Amino acid sequence: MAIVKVDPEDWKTSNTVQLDSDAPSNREALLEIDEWAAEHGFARVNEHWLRRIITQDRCWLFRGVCYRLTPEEQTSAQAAGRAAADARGKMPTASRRVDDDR
Amino acid sequence: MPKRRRIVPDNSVMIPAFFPEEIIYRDNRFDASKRAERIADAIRGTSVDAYAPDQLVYEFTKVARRKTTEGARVEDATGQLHWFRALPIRLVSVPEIEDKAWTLMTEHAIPPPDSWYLACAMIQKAELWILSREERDHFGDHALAVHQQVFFLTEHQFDKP
Repeated sequence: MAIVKVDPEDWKTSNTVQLDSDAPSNREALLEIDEWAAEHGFARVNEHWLRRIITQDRCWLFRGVCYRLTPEEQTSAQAAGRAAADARGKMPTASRRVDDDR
Repeated sequence: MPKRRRIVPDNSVMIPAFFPEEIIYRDNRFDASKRAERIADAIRGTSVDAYAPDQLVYEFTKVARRKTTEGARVEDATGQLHWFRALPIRLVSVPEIEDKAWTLMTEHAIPPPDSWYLACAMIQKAELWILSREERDHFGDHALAVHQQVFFLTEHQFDKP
């Protein structure tokens, strides 16, 4: 079970990549792609079910897409966090005991 | 580059990240929003890989709606709903976790709504974060009996990786 193809081959200069996994299930392929992404500075886009790809030698693979975690992505995440916190600060605070039903 | 930590945030920790909540826990008051914000920030900044069952979206939306009946303006809640949906949480669909959830319900007496979160955490080999161990009839205590990686915001600070 492995990532068997990275497209493009010169992914080190690319901000998006497609990864093919030969994992036996969608779930295992998702985890495998997540691990590759984490190890190489990428993140997987949010997909429930990966596309199925058949190779020339008739092997079925799972294909997912990842994007590079550029400084722009990090700056945007921080700005989004501040915006959400600012909006939260404008709302009334609810106080409750933790055994309330949620 | 090291592997990323994996987490599953329960709705009880996502809500205070977006709606201000003060929690009374064992007769102490604490700012649940400040603690929950650290989890949302880690997810947003992709310093962790976050997973959740589909139902997180339904549950978050349900509580967000309730917030609008408790003083939050609809436009503010709508904005927070959009920021929540922008979090890169990988939603895990029902077919991926239903067998595990069923086993948890039937063999470990995990309440059905909670079994989906626990199943998701177990299958993804992830930490499950819940507001407190007393939440929802001590779901946390039951979860700890079958999954070692269960954490409570009332007891643990979420340390950003």
